[in-house]
Amino acid sequence: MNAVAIRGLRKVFGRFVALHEVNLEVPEGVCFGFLGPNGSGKTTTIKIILGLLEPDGGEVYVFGRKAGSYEVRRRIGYLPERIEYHNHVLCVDFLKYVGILNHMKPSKAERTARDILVWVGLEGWEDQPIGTLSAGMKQRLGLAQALMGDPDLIILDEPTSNLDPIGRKEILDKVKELASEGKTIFFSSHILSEVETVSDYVGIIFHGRTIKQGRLHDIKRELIRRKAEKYELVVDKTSEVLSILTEKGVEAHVEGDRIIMFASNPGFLERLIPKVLVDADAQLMRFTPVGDTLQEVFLQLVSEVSLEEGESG
Amino acid sequence: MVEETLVKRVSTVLSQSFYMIVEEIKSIYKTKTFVVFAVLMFLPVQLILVSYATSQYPQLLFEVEKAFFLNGILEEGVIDAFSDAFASAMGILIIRRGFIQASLGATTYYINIPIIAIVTLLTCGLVAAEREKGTLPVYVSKPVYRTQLVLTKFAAFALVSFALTALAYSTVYFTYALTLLGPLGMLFTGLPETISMLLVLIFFTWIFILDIGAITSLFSSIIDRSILAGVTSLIILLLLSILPNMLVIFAGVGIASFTKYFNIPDLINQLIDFYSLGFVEYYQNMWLIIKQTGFFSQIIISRMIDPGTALIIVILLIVIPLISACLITEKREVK
Repeated sequence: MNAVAIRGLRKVFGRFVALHEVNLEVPEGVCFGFLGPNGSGKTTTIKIILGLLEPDGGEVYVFGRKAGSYEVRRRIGYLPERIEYHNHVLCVDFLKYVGILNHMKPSKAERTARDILVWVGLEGWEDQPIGTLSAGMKQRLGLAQALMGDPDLIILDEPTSNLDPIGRKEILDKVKELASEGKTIFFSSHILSEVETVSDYVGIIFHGRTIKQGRLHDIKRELIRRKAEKYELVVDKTSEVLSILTEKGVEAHVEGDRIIMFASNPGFLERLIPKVLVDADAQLMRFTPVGDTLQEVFLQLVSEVSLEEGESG
Repeated sequence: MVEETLVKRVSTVLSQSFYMIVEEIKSIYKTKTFVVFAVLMFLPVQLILVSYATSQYPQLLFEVEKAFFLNGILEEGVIDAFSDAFASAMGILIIRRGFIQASLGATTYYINIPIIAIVTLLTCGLVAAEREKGTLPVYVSKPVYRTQLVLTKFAAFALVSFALTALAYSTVYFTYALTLLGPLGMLFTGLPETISMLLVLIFFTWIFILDIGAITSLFSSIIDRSILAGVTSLIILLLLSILPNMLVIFAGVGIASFTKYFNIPDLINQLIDFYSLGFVEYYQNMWLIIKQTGFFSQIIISRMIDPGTALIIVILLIVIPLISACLITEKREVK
């Protein structure tokens, strides 16, 4: 069964269409990376999954039930993107309250709260007011509250934003640990490298539309195929190499000091280039496929969507 | 997932609500606003001690002492004198020997702007602060009804303010007894006449605080910024308590027959006078006052409202805003 299933989701704020059409399927037990640039509709989608916002169209199911229903809320932990706390409240009291909201008895809630605080690395801060915590610690407290009540689905909305690299790593390590325990994690981010390190499934959203989703492995393979089509070459004798390449029938042009080439089939350029270099007596400085990071492919995907939108609009 | 039965759900919700109230109370008394509230509630005690030290009410003291020495300790007159002195000190409308006694007393302070302001400040964040801080999305994404969140927070506020009101008034009551009559005066503190008066004062002051709290909670559920909700509520509450009297002065007495229903402090003061004096004495006093005040009696008459109606209004002013706050919080999206 899918932990989250979204079909044709649409959301409008006044005249602004936040979500055009979002389709997502998050299988149970995976760490799902929900990717998209800022303002693409990640938080809106998450809030609809939680039942905080009402959708204007489409269907959202969590564990096979309507999103936001009482039964569903028992099984979800949530860390919002932006959360400040009441500074005078003690860490353990805040978690205890969240535990009570999760139908725990106060004594059990307090015990669990203390355990979880230790687990997220806030040992010794349990009885301190939240106001005394640093930003990174507050984020770990946020993660701790999302874990109260042992939820089956943990939704983390940009858990690493506003954190320094160390804080980021701490949170990501904890997320990895949770993922290895078999929890379903719904992790939103605009930073692709982060998603790559923790997620096995990803969905990409842009301008309120899901443009790609599936196993990270599959998407990457597709990306490798794409990137194999385009290469860049940097040599000392640019014009000579370019003329030899065009003679051999390779589609190539110069951009700055680089030669950009397009291969008709994979592996063709890798075999050709050494010969060309020998022929031109040129020195090789760089020869790489273009778009070798998820980032670049993501940008490419996004630009394709923008172009389509521009044409249709 | 197994569907739970209705009985199970109800018992879960009730026990959960109880635990939520306990946690909420623990959280309230740590806030600075609550400390200011407590200080303001106990301020009259200090004022009594100061005014005793500077002998602001030798007349009252004289009356009581005279009755005390003339009639002996358990005579009716002493009790009456003390009860009158106490009522007068508390701000209850009393008449002695055909003359209105100054009705500036504890209620003049409690049923007034300082308490309106601090209670507004205390409750303006009920829902708005959770929205502001971003904790509301966390809370409402848990298995809890939003109505539960609003009602448990309000219940915690109600319990805390009841405890504070009862404690503050009792302290004022005993301080008066001590300062009016010296250590011997403490003998009178347990008398039914004065105790019932004390209970009436505590109850209606509490109702007054709840009115303010409920109305502010409503604004807190509509307006996202707690300070803005507080200021809006404060302005409206002050207008409600000042405007009717001003309208009567400028637009004529006739308008008071309409505006009197919204003047919360006035309603509460009338209720306190009525319930602490009883039907007969209250109307006797009113009649004497009307007879003595001449022109202003028109205003007094136009502002009078029958106690039953007044009671219903002050209760509805708690219930209606609170239900509205719950409904609005249930329906509003959490952005």
